[in-house]
Amino acid sequence: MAMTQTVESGAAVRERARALAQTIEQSEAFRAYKVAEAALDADAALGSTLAALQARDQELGQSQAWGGADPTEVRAVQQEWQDLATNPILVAHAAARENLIALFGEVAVGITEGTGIDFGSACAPAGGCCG
Amino acid sequence: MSTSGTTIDPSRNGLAAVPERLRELVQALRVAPAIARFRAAEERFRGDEDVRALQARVRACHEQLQRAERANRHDPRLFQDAREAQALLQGHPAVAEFVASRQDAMDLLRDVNEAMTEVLGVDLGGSVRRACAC
Repeated sequence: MAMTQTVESGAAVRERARALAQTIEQSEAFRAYKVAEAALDADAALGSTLAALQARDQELGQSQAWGGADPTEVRAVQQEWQDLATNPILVAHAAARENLIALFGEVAVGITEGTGIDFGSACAPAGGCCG
Repeated sequence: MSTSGTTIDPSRNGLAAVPERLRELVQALRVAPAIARFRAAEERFRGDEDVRALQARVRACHEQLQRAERANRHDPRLFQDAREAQALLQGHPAVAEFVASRQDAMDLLRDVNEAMTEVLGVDLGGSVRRACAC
């Protein structure tokens, strides 16, 4: 009996979760994010620039960890990030992502307050929130 | 518009149905056995005098250990006391029930996140988690 109740209740919870997700999917915030994401995916040149810069950034991070980063290279990479920060596609993507995460955050707060368990931590991989 | 004390502005998010669906999910979670069991266990855990006394004993043992460490003093008896206090705390029925029920409740919340991620194609819990301060 208790097991049946648990299974039914788990199914009801999942059904409500899917209903909420379907509603979020129709929201302006989610649609705007998908449009911004598609625009970013469609710009192959921008994607290559981003990937190359991220790779250089990662290399620099490793060099800095060993104390051997070239200051000229560090400044050059910082300058390129600053230049990219004004790219309209990236600006639109960042704004859309921020809006969507704000909505996700409000959903998470609602679940956290309703259950007494931090939703973000519950979704973290084993070993910790930032593990 | 308020959901469990949370404010979601429909005009900003474009759809008034989000808070309503969130409210329905929270209500389903509140009556789910895993969450109800966790909340009852948490109440017992927080209100149990024995648990509080054991927690104080564990803290006192750790403070003694830290003092001994700072003084470069190695006392195996202090380690033994700390281990014993920790074992007593972990073995207390209210603590064991709290830990086990919390795990079940967290598993249910992970299921919720999986169900939402399947629909959205975006990891909602993961997106929120990245904003944490740890």
